[in-house]
Amino acid sequence: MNKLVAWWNHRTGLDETMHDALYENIPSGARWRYVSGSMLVFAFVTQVITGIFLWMSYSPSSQTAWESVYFIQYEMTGGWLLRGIHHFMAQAMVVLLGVHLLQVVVDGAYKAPREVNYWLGLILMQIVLGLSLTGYLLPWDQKGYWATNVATNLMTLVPFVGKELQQVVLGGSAYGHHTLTRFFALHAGVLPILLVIFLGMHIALFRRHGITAKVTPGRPDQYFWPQQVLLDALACLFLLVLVVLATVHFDVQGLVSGNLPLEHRGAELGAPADPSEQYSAARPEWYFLFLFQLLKYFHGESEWIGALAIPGAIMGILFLLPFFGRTKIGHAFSVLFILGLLAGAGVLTVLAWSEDNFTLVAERLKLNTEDPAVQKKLSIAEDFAVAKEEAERDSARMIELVNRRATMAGGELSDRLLIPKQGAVYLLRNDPLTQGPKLFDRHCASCHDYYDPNATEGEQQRWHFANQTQSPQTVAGKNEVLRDDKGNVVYDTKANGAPNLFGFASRQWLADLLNPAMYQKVEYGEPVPSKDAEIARQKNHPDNFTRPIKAPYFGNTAHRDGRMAAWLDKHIDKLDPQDVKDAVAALSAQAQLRSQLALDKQDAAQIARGVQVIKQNCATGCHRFGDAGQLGLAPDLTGYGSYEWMLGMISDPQHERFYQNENDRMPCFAKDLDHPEKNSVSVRELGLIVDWLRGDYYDPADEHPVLPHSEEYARRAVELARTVDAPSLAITGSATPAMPTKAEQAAAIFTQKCAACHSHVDSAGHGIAAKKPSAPNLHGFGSRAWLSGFLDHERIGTAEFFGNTAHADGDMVSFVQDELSDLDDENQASLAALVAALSAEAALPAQQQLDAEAKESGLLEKGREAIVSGLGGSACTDCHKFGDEGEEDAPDLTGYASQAWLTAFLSNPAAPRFYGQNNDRMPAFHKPENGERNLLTAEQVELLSSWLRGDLKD
Amino acid sequence: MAPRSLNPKASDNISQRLAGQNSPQPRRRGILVGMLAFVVGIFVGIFPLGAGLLTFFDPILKKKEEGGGEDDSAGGQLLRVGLLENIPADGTPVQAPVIANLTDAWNREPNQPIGAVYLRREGDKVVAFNAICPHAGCFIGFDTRRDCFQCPCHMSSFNLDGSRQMPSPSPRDLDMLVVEEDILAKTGEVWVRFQNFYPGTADREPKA
Ligand code: FES
Repeated sequence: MNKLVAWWNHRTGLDETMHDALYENIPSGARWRYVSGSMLVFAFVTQVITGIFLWMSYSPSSQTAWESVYFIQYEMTGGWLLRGIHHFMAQAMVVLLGVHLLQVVVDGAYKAPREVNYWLGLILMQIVLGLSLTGYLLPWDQKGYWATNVATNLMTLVPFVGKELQQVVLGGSAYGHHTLTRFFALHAGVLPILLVIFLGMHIALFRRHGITAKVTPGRPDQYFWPQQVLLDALACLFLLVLVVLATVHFDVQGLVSGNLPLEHRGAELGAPADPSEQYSAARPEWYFLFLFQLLKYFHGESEWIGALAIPGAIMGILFLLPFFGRTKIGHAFSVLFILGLLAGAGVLTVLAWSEDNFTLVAERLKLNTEDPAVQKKLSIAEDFAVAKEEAERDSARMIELVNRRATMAGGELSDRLLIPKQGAVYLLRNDPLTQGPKLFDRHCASCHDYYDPNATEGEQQRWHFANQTQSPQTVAGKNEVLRDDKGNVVYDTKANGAPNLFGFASRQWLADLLNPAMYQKVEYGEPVPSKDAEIARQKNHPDNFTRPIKAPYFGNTAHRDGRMAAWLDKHIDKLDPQDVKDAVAALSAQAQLRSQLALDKQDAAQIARGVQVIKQNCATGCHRFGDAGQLGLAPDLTGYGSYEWMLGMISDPQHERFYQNENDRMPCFAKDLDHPEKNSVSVRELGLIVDWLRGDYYDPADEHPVLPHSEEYARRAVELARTVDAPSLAITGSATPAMPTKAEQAAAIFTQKCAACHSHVDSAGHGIAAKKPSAPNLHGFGSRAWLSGFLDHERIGTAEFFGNTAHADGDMVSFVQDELSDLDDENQASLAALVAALSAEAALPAQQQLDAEAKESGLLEKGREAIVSGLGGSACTDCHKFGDEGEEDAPDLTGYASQAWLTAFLSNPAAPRFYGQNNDRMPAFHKPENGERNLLTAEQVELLSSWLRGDLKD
Repeated sequence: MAPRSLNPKASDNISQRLAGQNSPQPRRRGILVGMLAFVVGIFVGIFPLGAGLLTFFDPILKKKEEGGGEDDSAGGQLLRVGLLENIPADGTPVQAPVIANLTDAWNREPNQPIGAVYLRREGDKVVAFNAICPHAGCFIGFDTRRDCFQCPCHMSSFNLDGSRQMPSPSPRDLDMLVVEEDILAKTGEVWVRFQNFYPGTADREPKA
């Protein structure tokens, strides 16, 4: 054995090297105060070891950096411990550097002959700081990204080469893959190699000059081995224990019990970097905070002083210290300088911290919160706190998202879906829970509220949007509020808000909506004085009287006095309350809200009853509901509140399934699916908002969790929502409806295209009512009843016929009113015959019998005669054409109201055969030359005529 | 003791030479050889370093090569950022993402957020600001309590019109972007010439 050792030593000289290393003489013996250097070496070695293992799992690129760190942190065995040690040892290293430097200066170890070694030490310090700066970016989380962003931006302030410097460091003009590859190469390659080289020289010079000993007379010299080595080892052990404790966030209990919570496992990992995502909690690592704080004090163009000049000057002075150290006074200066430096950095760090936690500070110091400067800091600190909270939430959310599972067909859960190729940021950008509220805030919250109305005061709500306000009226021409006789401010009563969408389409929401008091409810808050102190002082300035207003449903919209409100007032009380409840449950079931799925299932019978109630009460005049009712007057209730319905509504509220032209200020957010670039919000984003509103986002606690809808799915949903008569418009909770019959299709066409002006209601008031009747009621058009009414001098001028048309002052109306008013019996009889004859032209199916009888009895003959020869003074053929006779000044009466006549008339009422020049606003529904742009197809016109003539039976 | 060759089998001659007793070459030649060795040594060392430095400085070298960078960026990229109707009429600014093609080294992806702007309405006109702070590049927020733009980093505040609230760490006002007024008037769409600027200077200089 001994021989072997001797051979080894002879060949390698190891014994001599060991001897040289260990038998360094220490005057007055080993001391604790000599341990800091060894500790630094130990820290560095730890970083190298842990770093190399991290390297084995790390992948630098903007698509994989965060992802690989995530994997280390949460998936790999002991990964968090490895990363934690690396992270906290880095911090320990910076602290130790400070201590070491302080010691070197105070003990005078920087003085001759050790100047060079001191300078080497300063270079080593720069390298370590460079290591921590580059390391901060590598996880590619929001915090590292934005903090490093500031540092690299400051680089551009370097004179002459600043911008080039930045580009070389970033590997381009913006952050990206090459920023990471470069930072990583610096962090794991260049800087450590430099550090090893300089550390080697540092130690070599240290050995050359020996230790700067504190000599105590009488205390014997010792060799480095074994006493000092033991002290060093113990110190390193202490450091390691401390770092490990920091790694478990001093949660010894959790560590021992073996279930350490995630947030106590090593270094934190924020949400993945996203350059388009505002991040207001960006702060550098704590030991750089003083530099960060320093930047606040240099204003405008002097920024470079704080960013470069002062740190540069400090480093310069540090380099010069050995020259000062030659004299006693100089040494005193050096010591003061280093102490001052540390104290200054400490004060700046405390200031930075206190400004970020200013709420606390202001409270403690009882600062005057009226002071604008204090207010500013408070406001910034509040935002900072919110941002930090959000950052923590986002990073916790990322863990949930990476571990999301899909519900498979059988109801079982899939394997974890992990991170897609596009990267983790893709998951977060498409998470309704994260993005929904932000997008709602951006696009909806200026009109819509979102808050839980049942939350008690003071209860923290995660989302609270309530921005509706009401402005005072102003005195004409003056910037002054208008006051009434009693001196009260008069407010603008224009509707300017929209419903609270919290729980939209839920049972609670709908039950309140159907309550007339709630439907129109408005609550006013106290006026809020202007934030501008100058304006706030002016008693009558309008800016001081804007008051918050809470209108949970339609109280602050144009619909507050609309048909729905009127209907509620009139009818809701008369309905059986149980019916209303059923209807609410049924309508709410259409939304298929996840929060109500169980309830919907359980109340299936109630819902089935409710479906009937809706059909009987809502789908008779205004709404459509599945196969009942028609579109055109009010939003379609089919699929109400469902994903498709909401996307359809938001993307284009003016679509015929929704509000059409009664839409009240709601923008069409994504009308044009073929040109997505024209839309103000992308369908993807609308989908995120809808998913969030409906609670359709991944929740790991769910038994059957859902994943966000894809962009493609959202697009298809919009398309589906815009399909007017898709067979898929099934009612949840009722049997599948059949395809609409021809009569239903025709009625739908009438509602959409005609009912703006024409009604189609029978004498009992049943049917489709016009929104603003401005043309004749077409029910029974061409029938004897209709014609007798038309030719009745008392009725032709009413809204039922020509009352609201341009024809009201025309020849026809004056003819009927003048010539047909006082008819003798004989003329009465001729008029009746005329009506019968004209009506027979229509050949209406309902009059078949009557027409045949009339022909038999010669009534037709008589009537035709009357048309040509006239009643009273003039004949129809004076203006109209009838068969071969007559003029073309008014519509042709030949075949009047027959299928062919009606089809031709609807197709183009302004044709010379019909109204010609005299046509009053009636559109041409189908002209062959219009091709695609026709309002109706030829088949639809045919269908509509048949229906008007009563040819189609339900 | 004179130095000895470490090779025990070395001839005496070598040992003697090492001892400098019998220098076989004239001194002048020694200097020449030394210089040559030095030059060759430097060259073989520098060459790989140079090859590396070429790629290292690629970001600046390539830009010079292409040369066109400056002209392209002079006007900024014309991008659509929103619709007039969606900007509150009362002058409250809204934040809008800027969507464009994103090139990151070897990746190119369409329709990615590449930045953000604040849009503010002034009558029928729209004012657009880059959301990046001109001080050191943090992402600016809008403080609804104080009705001003607030940088979360070093306390720079900006008024609604983008001007600084003095004293301010920021060397200049918010970076206003050109809004294409013709398009706005005709279509109601807000198109801006999107540009990023170097932070930290009083005069703004577009980033390449
Ligand atoms: S980056 Fe905005 S104040 Fe510094």
